[in-house]
Order: sequence, then structure tokens, then C-alpha cells
Amino acid sequence: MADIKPDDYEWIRQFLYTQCANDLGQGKEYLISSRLGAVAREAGLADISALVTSLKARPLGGPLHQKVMEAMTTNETSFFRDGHPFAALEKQIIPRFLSSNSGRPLRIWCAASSTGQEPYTIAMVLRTNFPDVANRARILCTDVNATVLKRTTEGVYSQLEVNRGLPAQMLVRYFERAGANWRAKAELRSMMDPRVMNLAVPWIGIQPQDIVFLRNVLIYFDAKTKREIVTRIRNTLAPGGVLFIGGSESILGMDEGLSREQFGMSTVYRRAA
Amino acid sequence: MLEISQEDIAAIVSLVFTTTLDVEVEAAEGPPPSGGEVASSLVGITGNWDGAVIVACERALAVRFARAMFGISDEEVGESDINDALGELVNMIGGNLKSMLPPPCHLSLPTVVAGREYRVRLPGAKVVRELDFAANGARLRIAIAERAAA
Amino acid sequence: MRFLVIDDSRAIRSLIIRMLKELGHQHAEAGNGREALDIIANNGPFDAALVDWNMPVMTGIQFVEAARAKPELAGMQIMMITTETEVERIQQALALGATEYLMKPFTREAFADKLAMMGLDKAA
Repeated sequence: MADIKPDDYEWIRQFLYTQCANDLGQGKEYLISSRLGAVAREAGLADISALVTSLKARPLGGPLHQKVMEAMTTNETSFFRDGHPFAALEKQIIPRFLSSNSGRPLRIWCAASSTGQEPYTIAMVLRTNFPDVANRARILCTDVNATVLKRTTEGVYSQLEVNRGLPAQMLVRYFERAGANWRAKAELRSMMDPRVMNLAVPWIGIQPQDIVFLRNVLIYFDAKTKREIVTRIRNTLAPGGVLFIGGSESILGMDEGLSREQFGMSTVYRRAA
Repeated sequence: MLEISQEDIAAIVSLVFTTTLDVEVEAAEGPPPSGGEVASSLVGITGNWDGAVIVACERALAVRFARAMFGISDEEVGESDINDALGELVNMIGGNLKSMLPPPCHLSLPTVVAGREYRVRLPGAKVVRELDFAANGARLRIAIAERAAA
Repeated sequence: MRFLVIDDSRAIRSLIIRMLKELGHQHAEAGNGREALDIIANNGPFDAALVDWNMPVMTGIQFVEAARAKPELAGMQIMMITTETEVERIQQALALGATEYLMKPFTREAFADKLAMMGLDKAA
């Protein structure tokens, strides 16, 4: 793949910024190359430059624009990614929820659920350790990318994906073969509530959430949008609800109304009860 | 009857190549161009399904596979390295195909055959699937032979 | 950490050993389950055995059974690394005492993740 021209880079950066408040910044040529190269090829275009020319010639919001947006915002993920948030969930967060609520449904929101490994991991933690809670739990899975969100609905993963981070005990208990792939059993799939949603745009119709996972997604947004998203998430949290962000992320200075709690290696932000 | 779809076979071949070589495989049409050196490997499957999986690939691809498995350069790759790598290639493809057959089935240890001019005969078996792929410009053929139920 | 790599394929042993070295671990290697038991008898237990399923002389599953019958090896973790990918096979290996299971082919990330899950991510 040829080098990316500065003008093309700037156009893609502006496009992502205006369409999904995604701040690419500078020096991400490798990311554009690796992610948009395939989009260009699929569209029968010679290179990134031809892709940009073609995007400019078409109305915004068309399928090619959508594909570019999706390719640039897809999150790398794996089952039990980072481990410790799920340990905190099992050892502290869910037990605390149980001690203060009897029989109320548990609402969890994976706010950038990508291909679904995170919500399925949460579902496995619940089914294994808190079967009663699992029966009344709903996991809202949202992502800006309709194509990857469909994978959460289907719950089908390649062998490469189930090989990563998923304990063998969990694989055989919660998945079954589907040809060359593996499919999550209905007891997990039935807990998922997938919806296409752009976090950068104010949302409606989201019920108060007990637990929100917003890991490794804020990095994609500029400071102003990031602050707006954190504020909206806080307002969406139920009293006493908690927010997980990525291990290397910070919401310092935008966490009004949230108190920091440390559970082992996990930092969570809690809305006052 | 073999009930594995072409898509599933392609998915497994792709899984093996992207994982071990970080190379995309594409479906190819027709037999590989003649002339180049070809190495083949075979695993037998017995049990509720009886037959064999045969992988034939151009030497360049076999060398590349050996290089990736042993972490050495093209010049360092010897015949025994190629044989071992091809044995593992057919083991991975055959083993994963087996998981889609009616259980229980058992996988044999792999056999590797070098050179172009040979014929493999599996008494009572006939080839029920033959798929051609290209990876990095080199060709690869997967054949599945099934032995008729007794 | 000390690992015993058990596989009849020289290619796979080479691949796994390279990954172990990159992660800072020590290793010994065996071509089948019998050889592995002999190495353990002479050198004492390892932190973990990484074992293939289909091998001549003594298979991986026979090795798991033999190792789990020895109380002195109770602390040794065992991960199967194999192309046997049916649910029933994985269940069988876990029931006989394998700690983890990695399906071939695998990436180095998947390998490192599994070791971390087993608490084997600290360098020697």
C-alpha cells in the first residue's frame, strides 16, 4: 500500500471527527493503511487515495462512508480482557448489588460492545456465580458499528477468538460447535440486548443502569465529547451504580458526582446511592 | 456421506494460514500450474467416518511454513524441516475437520510424501471434496477421500 | 517458570519453545508421554506440562492420567495443546485433570493469555 497523502489523511481525520467525534490525531497512517486498505480493495479501488476521491464524490451517510467509519472505530477485544474487572464484578460489585436489592432486575450496559466478547464474558460470570441474578439480568450492548453488533446477536466466534482469554471450562460449558466456529448457548444469548448507538450523540430510551462498561472507547473522542459522554453516562447510572473504564484511561476532572473505588487492580466510579 | 460444507473447509484452511503464517488464503480455480515442485501430506481419520485428508502444496509455501514453525530463514530450511512442518499442517487441517464429523472419530499420525510423481491409493475410498487455494501466490490443494461405509 | 513441552512434532515443539523463550521461561522437551514421564522422573516436576494429544508410544491423554495418578505431581499444571477440538475431547481432558486447553492452530497472544490465566506469566 502506497503512502498516505497528507491531504487524504486530513480529509479522513475531518470526516471521522465530524461524523462521530472520533479524534484520530496525527501519525495514524498505519491505522488508516491497515484498516482502510481492505475497504478500498473490496470497493474495487486501487488505494487509499482513490478511496478518498470516491468518498468525496458521494453523499455523506452512504454505504461506503459507513464502511469507512466502521473500519476505523472497531475495537480489538477478547474474552476476559484484562481479567480484573470481571474479578471485581464477581467478588465485590454483584455481591453488593445483591445485599442492597432483593429480586430487582440487574441492568448492565456495555457501551462499546464491539464484537461482543465483553458482554458474553459478563454473562458467563453471572451464569456461573449468580444463576438467580443471571435469570433477571439484561445486558444492553451498544456499538456504532451495525456489522460488529450483529455478531453479539448471533454469538458466533471463530476458533481464533475462543482460543483467546476464554478458560476451557467456560468454553465447553457455554459454547457449542457451529461448523468451523463456536456459538454461545441460548442461556447466554438470551441475556443480550444489542442496539446500534453512537455515544457521541445524546441518547434516549436507556433505562437506569446498575453497571456500565465503557472500556477503551473514550480514547477515540476529543476532550469535549469525552466529557459530555461521561456526564451522560453518570446521569444514566442508577443510584449506587458503577462505571468501569479501561485500565489505561482516565476521566480525571470530569468525574463530578462520581466517587472512585478501588477493587484490587480495578478502579470503578460509583454514583452516590 | 461427508457433511462438511465448502465454507467450513475454507474457514479451517484460512484459520490455519492466518494463525501460523499471518497470510490470507483465497479460493483458486482449477489445478495448480504444473512444473513446480509439490509436497503432500496426509492424515487418516477412522471411526464414525472413514477416510483421509490430503494437503498438497507448492514447495514455496511448504518452505514458508517450515520457516514460520522453526523460526529460521529460507536458506536454513532443510528437507526434514519441510517434512515436519507439512506433517503439522495436515494435522491441524485434518484435526479441525475431524471436529465437524460425527463423533467418535480418531486421527492418525501424519504421513508426508515429497515429489510430484506419485499416486496415493486408499483402498475403497474416493475423493469427495477437492478445493484449491492460493496463498502468497503459491497454490495449495485440499482433498478429502471418503471410504464407503462397510 | 519451568515448562515441559511434549509433542511428537518437532515443528510444534520448536514453535512453542520459541514462544516460551520470548516470555522468559525455561523448558525441556519430550516427543511423547513416556519420554515426558522419564524426564520428570529424572529431573523432578515442572511448573507446567504443555502436551499434545496424538503421539506415538504414549498419547497426551494417557500422560494426563499417568501424571494425575502421581501425588508428587499434583502441583504441576497441564495444558493440552492439540488439534483435537471436539467439545467431548476437551471435557474428557479437563475431567482427567488437565488444567487448560489450547486448540491448534494458535497465536502467540492466545498462548500468552492462557499462561497468564494459569498464573504462569512470571518469568523464570
